[in-house]
Amino acid sequence: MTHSYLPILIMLAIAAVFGATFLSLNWVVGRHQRNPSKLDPYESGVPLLDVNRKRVNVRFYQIAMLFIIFDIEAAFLYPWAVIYREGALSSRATAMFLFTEMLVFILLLGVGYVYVWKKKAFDWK
Amino acid sequence: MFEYLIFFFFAAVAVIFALVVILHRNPVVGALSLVVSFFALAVMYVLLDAPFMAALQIIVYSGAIMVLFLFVIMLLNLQHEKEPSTRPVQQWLGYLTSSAFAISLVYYLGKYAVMSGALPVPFIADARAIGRRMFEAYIFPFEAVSILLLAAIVGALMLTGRSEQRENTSGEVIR
Repeated sequence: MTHSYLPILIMLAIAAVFGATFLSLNWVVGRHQRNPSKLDPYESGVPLLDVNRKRVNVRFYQIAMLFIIFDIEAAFLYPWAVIYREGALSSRATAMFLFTEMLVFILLLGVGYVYVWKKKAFDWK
Repeated sequence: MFEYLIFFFFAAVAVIFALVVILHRNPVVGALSLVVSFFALAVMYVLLDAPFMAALQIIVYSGAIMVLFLFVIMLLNLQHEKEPSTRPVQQWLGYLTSSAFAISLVYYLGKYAVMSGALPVPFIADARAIGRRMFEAYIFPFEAVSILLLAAIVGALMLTGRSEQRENTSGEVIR
């Protein structure tokens, strides 16, 4: 069971080795010169306007909270989606049951979505 | 044997980065270490034959909760890169209490928790098993969750209070 996750582990290892290799190659091969222009913004960047450690608008936090809530809603969709096909193939009543239950779930959260929309929480005025 | 190696490696990663979270003075570093700790915990879930929990751990915790933590840090308006260490007495008392708690936790878990042998029934917690249980035994709690999430949506908007009057009175507009 766990062995089927071996490719993910191998991918993690390859990613780590890849990153470490190129960072260390950069460090080994490259010349270590420090001058002020190295610390400047890149070619297309803009100079620093202000300090970066300042209080951000609460709207970021609000969007993050709404994101979590709808993320959790999506998390409930996965197990439903996995069992839906075999449930729907077993009998018509099961199919209707599964479909209606999820419909109620999504409609209830749809009310919340409409509420957020009407409250103009998505607008960045 | 191989699974033990994976377990101990990722257990060490989880514990080390959890320590970084509480010991590092820069809160952003702490928050990012928490992500690494969460990922290591996801590996634990995979090893426990609970792949769906692992996926949720990454989707919800590493994805969403982390963003929330980062915004909390930014909302706190920490001006200093590093906080000076204050009140050494409390600090050492904290170290003492938490290490005493950790030692007693390990001791009592080792003494009383059943850690020998396999589980009596094969324990599978993949998405299929969870979905089946969710729609068989726990159908009412499942629908109640949507009400709970609805309440959370309203609560989130209320907490961050963005009614027009309040925005005018608070006055200060910060980019």
